[in-house]
Amino acid sequence: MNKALSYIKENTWIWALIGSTILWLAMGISSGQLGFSSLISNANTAAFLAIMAFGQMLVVTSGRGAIDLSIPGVLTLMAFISMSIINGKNSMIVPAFIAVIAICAAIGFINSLMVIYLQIPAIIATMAMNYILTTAALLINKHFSIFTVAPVLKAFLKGKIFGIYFSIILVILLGVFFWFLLRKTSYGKSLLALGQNKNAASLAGVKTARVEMVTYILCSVLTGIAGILVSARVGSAVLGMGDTYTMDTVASIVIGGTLISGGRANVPGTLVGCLFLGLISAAMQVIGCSVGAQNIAKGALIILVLMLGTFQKKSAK
Amino acid sequence: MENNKCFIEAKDILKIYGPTIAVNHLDITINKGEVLALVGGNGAGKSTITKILSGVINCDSGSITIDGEAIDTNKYSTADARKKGIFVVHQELSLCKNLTVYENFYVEQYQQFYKSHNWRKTAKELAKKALDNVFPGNTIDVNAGLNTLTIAQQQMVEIARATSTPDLKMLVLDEPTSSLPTEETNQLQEYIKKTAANGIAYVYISHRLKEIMYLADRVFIMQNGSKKHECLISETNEQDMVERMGSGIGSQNKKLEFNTPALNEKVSIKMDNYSSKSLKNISAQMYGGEIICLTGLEGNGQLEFIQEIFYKARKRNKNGLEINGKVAYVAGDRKKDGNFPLWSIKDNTIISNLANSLLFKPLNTKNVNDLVNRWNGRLKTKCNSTDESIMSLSGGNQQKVLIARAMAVDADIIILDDPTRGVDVETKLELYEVFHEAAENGKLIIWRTSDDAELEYCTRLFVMTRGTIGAEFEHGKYEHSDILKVAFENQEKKDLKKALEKKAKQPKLYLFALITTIILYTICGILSPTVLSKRGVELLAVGYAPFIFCALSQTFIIGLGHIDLSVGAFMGLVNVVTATILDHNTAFGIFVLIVLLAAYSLMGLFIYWRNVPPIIVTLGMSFVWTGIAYNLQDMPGGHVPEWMVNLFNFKNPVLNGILIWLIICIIASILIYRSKYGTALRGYGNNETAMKNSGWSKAKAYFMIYFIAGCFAMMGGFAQSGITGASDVNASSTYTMLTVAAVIIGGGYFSGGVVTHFGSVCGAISLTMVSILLGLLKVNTDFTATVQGLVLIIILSIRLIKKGEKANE
Repeated sequence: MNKALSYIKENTWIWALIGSTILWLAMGISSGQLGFSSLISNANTAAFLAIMAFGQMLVVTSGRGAIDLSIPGVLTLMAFISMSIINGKNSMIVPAFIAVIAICAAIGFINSLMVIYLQIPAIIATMAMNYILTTAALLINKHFSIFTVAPVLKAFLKGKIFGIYFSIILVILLGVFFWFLLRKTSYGKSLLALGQNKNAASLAGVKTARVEMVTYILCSVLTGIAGILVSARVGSAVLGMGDTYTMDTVASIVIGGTLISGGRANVPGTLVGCLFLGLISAAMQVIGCSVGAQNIAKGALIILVLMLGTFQKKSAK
Repeated sequence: MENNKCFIEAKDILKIYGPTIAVNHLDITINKGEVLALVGGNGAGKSTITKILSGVINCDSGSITIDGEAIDTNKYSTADARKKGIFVVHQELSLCKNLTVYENFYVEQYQQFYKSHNWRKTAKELAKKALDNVFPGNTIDVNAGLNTLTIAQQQMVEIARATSTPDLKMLVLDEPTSSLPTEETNQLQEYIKKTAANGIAYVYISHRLKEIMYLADRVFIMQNGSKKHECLISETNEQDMVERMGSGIGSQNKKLEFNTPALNEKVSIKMDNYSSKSLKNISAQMYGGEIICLTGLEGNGQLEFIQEIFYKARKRNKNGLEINGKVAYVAGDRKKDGNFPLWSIKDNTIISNLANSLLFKPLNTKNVNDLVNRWNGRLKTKCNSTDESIMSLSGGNQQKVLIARAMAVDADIIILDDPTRGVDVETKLELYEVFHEAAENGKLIIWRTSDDAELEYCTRLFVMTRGTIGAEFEHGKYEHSDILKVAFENQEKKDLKKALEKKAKQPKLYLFALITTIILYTICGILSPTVLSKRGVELLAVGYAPFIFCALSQTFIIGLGHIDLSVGAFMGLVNVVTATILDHNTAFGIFVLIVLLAAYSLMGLFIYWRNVPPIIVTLGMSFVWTGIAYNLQDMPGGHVPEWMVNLFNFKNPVLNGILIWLIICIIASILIYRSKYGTALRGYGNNETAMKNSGWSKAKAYFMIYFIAGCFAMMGGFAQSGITGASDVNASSTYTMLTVAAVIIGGGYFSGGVVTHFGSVCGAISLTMVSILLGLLKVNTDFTATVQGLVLIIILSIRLIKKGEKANE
């Protein structure tokens, strides 16, 4: 019993999980159809957010207030680029992925150079990058009129195994990968050390610059892949399609128990955080709440979860 | 009569830090009008006892009587000490670096200013008088920013500030002359002699024995937290003091069994006349199998020596330093340089191994467990399981984990940075054994120590003075006083000629932003002369205004070291309220606006109360503000009351309304920061501890900052309404991050309270000017964002280069 209690104290995302369950039940009861289908369709939506949230989680974990604000720019631009390259043809999917990953790796690399060598605070550097990417998207948009999605991508997005969407499985696999990365590899441990105390990490022999570089590159690449999937789902690329994602990724990882000051990341928490954010919107739509009320609930919950986290710290003392 | 002479009497003072007895049943008295010199080796407990006497820390047991009045030692605080007239000049300066000299006088001596009408004038006079009193003929400009002063000048300011207290009874000076040049040192001594004659008591801590011989009335020699000797200055001399400080240390351990390990020539460090920023002409050769201690008085290059070796070992270009072998570093300041507090013992042990392997190679769990268990077992780390948090261990056991970390990585060269600080005797002995065993296995150990007793465990020792090796001794071939002699004798010769030279003039923070603004404006003017006309400026202002108000608000928040992610959303909400509720019912509208402002201010209190990251609180609140706004109005539109539109567009022959409001608000924000309380708020952005110690309330400061920021954000919302006559929730949502950029472009930093409102305004204008310029150049407006981003990167890069030059001086 005590063990369970201390586990809950350390993993504040349990509250979000309980919240998600209640929301799902409430939605099911109010609509008269209690079943997994509503949960799964919500999870499918949350999956796209989760891919980016993993990237944001890594950047935030690197510490000293780092947040990647270039996520909307990367997502939107990659949506345009991938749509343009694929143009509805199955054969172009692989080249599109290669192109997107290469471009995103370059973007992340430049972000990390600005942070490490120009010593520009991460939020300013990535914000500047976001402006540049937004412009690029604007320019492409002028000559853009593609509304066809490659059949394979379409099939992938609609495809299910045992009633569960492929995209959900993909995200769970990614989750397992990052869980492994953070716990069982040199990179993960170095990143967590860096986020806790850069000075100590560097004296312990951590190659801080290399670790930070990989972190920003991973974040951009993940966002780029999310960009391909989101555009395929929406059926096109639209300006501003990524705008809400910065704040949503930060919110979901904070709800999930990742420390905003760095050094602690929580992979299952991030997944639950994303699901929870999605369910709030869905539940409030079901009971007919306005966009405004959804926002208020979202904001209040972020602060509430944060408070639960600090209660835990105080009692630990 | 005898009792009247005594100012402070402390009896049987005991202070224990974990396993270390810092002050061991010490009795000390300080008389009125007396200069008491407190001397002793490193870690003798001098600083601890002065901290106890001045209320910085409380003792575990003992009694203190001040001026014949017994003190409750459990509740004795710095504020109480101040009331009693006890002030301290600490080694680490407690000044606010973002304030000017006279403002620093104000924030500490604010009680003197309650009745003054022109506090700046009074503070300047006070500062000037105090500085001239102690350091006649000094060239310190009381109007200068503290960060433009040299360390020596800052030290002078701190000393002068303490002496300016009207009811000063006792002043503790902790190494006051360590960074002062000769003339200023003499001036300080004359001042102390003069004022001591008037009845002020002084406690003078110094390693410079000549100064003490000249200045002190009485000498109090400490060792290991106890009194070693106490006598009148006439009864002692330099030689005598050195011997008394030293004797007793070496003799206890002299009989230690010590086999010098064989040298392992494969592992070596060679330095040939090596110099760096803080090291001078070091020549030394070190080999595996040696245990080399670095000793000397603190701050003579020992730390720089070991860090140089560690960091150079990882670089390809070693500047002539030859290092053969893998280097590991064991930090002694566990909290600052060693522990990863969120981690278990296991993770803390193994991190160096992981850091040295390929980035994406999976861990070999069995291997990890083996290493962790072997080394923590060898070091006898006391824990139930290596999965426990490192923070659950005592200091000594934490240290063992850090040593296990260096051992597990199997380094050839192990650097020890004073690893036994705050470690109990038994553990210390265990550690010595481990070090010795490592040397026997052919490892080279370089050991910085502040505990002279440890010198017995090395094969060779270097006495560092002023960044170089002052003397080198083989094990057993020296007397302890030889070391002290070398360590102490060169201290007075420190080259401090340059200490008072003026630093190169630094550009004002807002300079880059101002230049950028002027350039952009001029180019716009050349392309389209209307921009330069009054009409042009007015039109521009209409475009700028809400953004600039918002930037002013953000400046206050960043000045406190926070970031407000909700300011744009808050402005949007205010805009919506004016176009909906206020339009329907003026009184209720005003009430709602006041409630909103209160709610915004409470964010500050909430951050203080829960001690939560401001960035998340404001992120959460940004959703809340937007949510409320959407509930009031989900589509852009609404109607702003006529009177509010007129407020910003009132007809007058001079300027248009919006520009007038803008100028008023910019001046107001600058004035707020220059006001008495504003000065304290700025101080809070730089040095919270110093401000709290001076008696300023933190809760109030946080609340006020958010209140003021809220007022300006609200003004931004009003301006938005006044200009557009309608409302849109999202009109100002992009401002949040843009204002952060504007503040940083304007010369601000995220920490240290370094921001200027003028700079932020320039930053905001240059960001918006970009779009106008591009429009005039007929460049597609799509490029606006890109150019804004590039301007941001370029300005911050230039600033880095400028900063780099400064650091090299």
